Order: sequence, then C-alpha cells, then structure tokens
Amino acid sequence: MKTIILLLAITLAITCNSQIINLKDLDGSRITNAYYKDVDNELNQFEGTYQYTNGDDELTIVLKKFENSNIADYAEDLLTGELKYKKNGVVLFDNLSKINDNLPNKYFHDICGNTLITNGARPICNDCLPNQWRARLIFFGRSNNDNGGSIVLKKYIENGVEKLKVFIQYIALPVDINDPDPLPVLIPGSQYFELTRIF
Amino acid sequence: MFVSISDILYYFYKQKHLYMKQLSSTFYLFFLMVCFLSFFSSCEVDKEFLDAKDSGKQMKRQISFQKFKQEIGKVSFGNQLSISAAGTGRTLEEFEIDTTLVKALETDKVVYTMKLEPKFEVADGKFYNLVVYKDNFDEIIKNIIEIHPQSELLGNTEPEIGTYLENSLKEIIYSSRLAPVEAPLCVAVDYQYLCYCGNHREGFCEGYCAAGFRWVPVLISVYCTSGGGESIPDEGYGGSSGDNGENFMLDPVLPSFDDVTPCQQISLLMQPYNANMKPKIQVLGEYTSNNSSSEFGFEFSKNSSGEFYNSPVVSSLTTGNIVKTRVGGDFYAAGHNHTPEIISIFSWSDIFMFFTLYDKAASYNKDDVTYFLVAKNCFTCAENNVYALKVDNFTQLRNKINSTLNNSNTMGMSFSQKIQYAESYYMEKFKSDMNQSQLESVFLEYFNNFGFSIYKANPELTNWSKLSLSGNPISPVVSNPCN
Repeated sequence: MKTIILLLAITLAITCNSQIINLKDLDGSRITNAYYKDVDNELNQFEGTYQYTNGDDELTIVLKKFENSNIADYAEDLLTGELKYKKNGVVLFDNLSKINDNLPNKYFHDICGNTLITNGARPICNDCLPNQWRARLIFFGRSNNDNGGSIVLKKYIENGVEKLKVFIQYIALPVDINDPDPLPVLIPGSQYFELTRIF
Repeated sequence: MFVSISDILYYFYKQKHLYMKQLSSTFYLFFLMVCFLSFFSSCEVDKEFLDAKDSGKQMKRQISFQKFKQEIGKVSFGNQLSISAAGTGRTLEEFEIDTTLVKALETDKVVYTMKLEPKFEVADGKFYNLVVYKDNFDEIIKNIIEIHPQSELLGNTEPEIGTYLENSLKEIIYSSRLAPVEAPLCVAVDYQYLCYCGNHREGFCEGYCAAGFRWVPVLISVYCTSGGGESIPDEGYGGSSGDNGENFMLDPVLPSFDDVTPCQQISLLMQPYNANMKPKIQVLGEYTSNNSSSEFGFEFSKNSSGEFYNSPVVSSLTTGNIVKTRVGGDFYAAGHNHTPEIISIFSWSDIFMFFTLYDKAASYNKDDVTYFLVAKNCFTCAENNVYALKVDNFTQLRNKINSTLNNSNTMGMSFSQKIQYAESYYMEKFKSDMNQSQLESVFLEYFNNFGFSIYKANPELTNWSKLSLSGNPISPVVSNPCN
C-alpha cells in the first residue's frame, strides 16, 4: 500500500511539473519545468540533407530534430543543423558531419531552434500554402566568420521533388573603433536559396 | 515685506544689550536661523549698470512672479494667455507663464520678461517670452516674442548666448497695444550686447584692456511700428525710446539646458545648425519606400568642440547585408532602415546596438545619443515609420541587457551567440502578421522597464512623439507629442 501511494505521489508530482506547451504557442518566455513540444510534428518536415548549387558555388544544409532536449530548467523539441559552403569551387567550411555529434547543449550546433511562424510573419510568405508553418531558427555562423542571425526555412514540393527555401538574415553588431573591422560574411544574406533534398 | 539682512543684524545688535538676558537660547537660535535663511533665500542678483547715467536705476534683476505683480501694480495678473485667432493671422494659441523666473530690466522704463510654455506643438526649437511694461500713459503693455533659434546654444557665457540670440529669428507675434492688426506686428527686432573693459563701457572690444574685455548683458532691442519692417537706428544702447513709445529693451529668458527633454533633444538633432540628421533620415526613407532589398545606414559623430561629422548613407550590400555601425570615440548617433523582409520595429540586436552606442559614447555626447530606424509595415505601404531611441536610465538598461544575455541557457556561448539567442526569443513574439500598432505594443511590452524610451516622428520629421503603453487593450499605444 505504501508503495502504491508513493508511486501515485511521484506520478502526480511529475504530471504537475511537466506542463506541455505546443511549440506553436511560444511567446518569448519560458516556464520552469515545462516541456515545449512539437505537438503536431511540424519540425519533422525539415529533416534531411538539402543542397543548392550555382556553378562552382554550393550550399549544403543537414537538419535533424531532437526531442525533449533539456539544458536549462525546461525541455524542448529542437531542430538542429550544420552547413557546408563552397565558393568558386573552394570549400570554405564543412561541418556536416557534426550533426551526429552528441552535444549536451544542442545550441552548439550551427543551426538550432524551434520557432514556428505563420505566413504573415516576416519575411512574409506569399507562396506558402494556407496554414503552412515555416521554421525560424538561430544561425550562429561560427564558421561564417562568426557572422550569424536567423535562418528561415520553408518546405515545399516541386515536381515531386522535396525542396527547401532558405533565407538568412544577419544581425549587425556594434563595431568598436578601437577594434579591427569584423570579417565579412561568407554566405550572402537577405536573399533566398532554393535547395533540393539529396538525402 | 522684504527685510534685509542688515536690518535684522542691526535690530539684533540694538536689542541684545537690553534683552540678552531675557532671550532664551531657543529664541537666539531662531534669530540666527532667520538671518541664515534670509541670506540664502534672497532672489535678487547684483545690480548691473549699463552706463553711468543708469546709476540709481535697478537695472537687471531676477524677481519672483509675485514681486512682478506687485511692481506692475496688478496683483490679479494671470498666468494663462491666449492669442485670439481673429485679426492676428494666426490660429488660436495658448500659453502658460513660467512663473519660476521673471527678469526685470530697467532702462527708460522697467521691462519684465518671462518664459511662456506653449500649449501647442512647437517645432524647430522655438521658444516664447512674454514682455510686460508700462507705457508713458501708465498702461500695461503685453508683448509675446517668438524666438526661432538658427544655431545651437553652446554654453552659458555671454558671447555664446549673444551669438545664439543674434542668429535667432525674432518676431513679436502679439502686442496688446497694437492688436488686432495683421501679423507680423513687429519685425524690426535686433539683439544688442555691450563691451566692457573692467567697469568701463567701450564701444567695441578693440585695443588694449588690462582688465580684459567682457560682453554684458544680453538684451534684445525692439523697435515696433504698426507697419513693421523699419530698422533700428544704429545708436547703440541709450536710444531706445522712440517717439511713439513702442521701443523697449528686454532681457530674454532662455530655455534651460536642463529643461530639454529627450524628446526635444531628438528635434534638436534634426536642425541644420545641430547634427542636421533630417536629410539622412529622408534618404533612408527613400530606400525604404522603394522596397530596397538591402539595408542602409549612417553614423554621426561630434567632437568635444561641438563639431559635427556624419557619414554618407551607405548600403550594406558589400557586407552581406549587415549595416556597419561604429561605436566609441566621438560616435553618438546612428540610423538604419529595415527592408520589407524584417519587422518594422527595432530588433533585439538593435537595442543592443543602441546600448553599446551609449555605453561607448564620450561623456560630452551621452545626452545626445540617439538611434534611429526607418521601416514600413508592408511592401505596398505608402508611409514609412521613423523611430528614435533615447536612454532614460542607463544603469537600468545595462542591468536588463546583462540579465538577458547571461543566463543558464547561454552558458558557454560567445558574446555574439548570446545576442543571437536573445534575438531568437524576442522574435518569437513576431511569429504572425501584425499591424504597426501591434508591433509597437509588443515592443513596448517587451522592453518595459529597460530604461529607454521610443519616439516616433511625424511624416515631415518636424515633430516627435513619445510612445508608451496606454493600458487600454483596444488602443494599447498612446502617443504623447513633444512640446
């Protein structure tokens, strides 16, 4: 009897402390012990490896979803990613293999996040399907000369081929006059890349 | 009734031999306090004479509004004024007298000046003085002078104030003697100041002066005729009394530096004689209106001598669409635009930029630190929105920035990664379509108590309004125009 009561108490305690919140309801705040869950599995659509080529330029992105990641006082489902960038035939960086690294903090992947946005959110999506959800993630840009910001992903099918439309928006950081100028970005920002799924 | 310090001391001296023994220590202490307070509460400044013939007059004084009413002989003199729209060529304008300071200048007549607080929106740093005197028929004459500065007041020395007033446009917009007539009532207004060598007045500050030349005092000479437009006879001080009795000299009450609100500071930055930021913002507006896919930005700096420098409006195309904004040294203001792909309100990283701009600014530029944004809310929207940020409480801002950047989630991240992380959280609030009012509301809610304020310009960039939360869910943002 004591064991049953103890189990009930533990179950109750866990239930009370693990409030599940849909990722679609993220509002810039976090509740202690809550689980921010991809209830409708919207992040799943983005998983895979995608590639854009233009002559000797190539951008490859690999995306992978992690569930119930816990680094702070709450848990969350996350979409993580790594990149490879080739310019004029020269590979400037290739971190694709890092996607399989078992990082305790998933935010140490170069792409990470879980914000789901509607068609009306910036950048506005005029060719999205009604009720389609895009993902806005952090692009840390560690290999991009430490230039980062956000990356917006839109999944679509074209002629039966899975495609990913990518928009990178960089963040401007102050430049102290006593410091050297920051290195330039490698991957161009504020333009759309259309990538095709290759894996 | 005014009791001078010497009266009190003399009384005390006379009385103490007779009654000292009877005075309690408490009364003695009270007397000392009265003396002390009388000494420090005196409003009058030392009298300053313009010329030998003026001795005996109470030349320049600063008096209370109460004393002014006593001297002018009208205890019911109100502190509210309004210019009737009829006959003046102006719209109805209302003022309140700033009763904290009345300046009195006695030459051929005593002329009182006091600052007027307009109850309407004032553009371009204009300020107003009420000038009151009694004419030869003992009638109280009231004039309102509008002073429109064309240069910046760089300090409180007499030459600096003199240059400031001399360069200003001055116009009597109302006169109780002449109204109602077509405005302007009087356009012949000039500024005069006098050169002294020691205590001797000189014609010009030229030649040798062992004691050193000095300029005294600040005066505006007004020569009014009903027709207006006549020039002042070039006779210097002393020739101020004209045939029609309309001439007078006054000692203007200037706006205090301390009175300039952050809201008004932004307006000042727009002025050609100040940083002249308006053309730069207008260029940003053109790029924004044209839906440029690239961001643009500009920077402003000012050295310790008050000399302004600014960068051209530069595109961010060459830097991967990152507007380069320098901080530190003499840099104190910057602006940029947002393309239609980005929210049409400041981002979190913009706030960090603003924070760093202030943090690194030279001490002489701190008050002027301002960060601008030009953006429009949709691709086809006709009008741009122009915003500016001003620091209210930098310690509060620093604490908020630090607590947002440094928490258990960001441990092990680099500085730039922490900013990207903070930006990501902030952007969660903008995950659906929002109109401009909703964007402003979310911004104000998020940055509530961050120690800064946001201001929004009118389309002409001539007036700014402070935005704040109203508490009303139907109309959550209230806009308070700068006055």
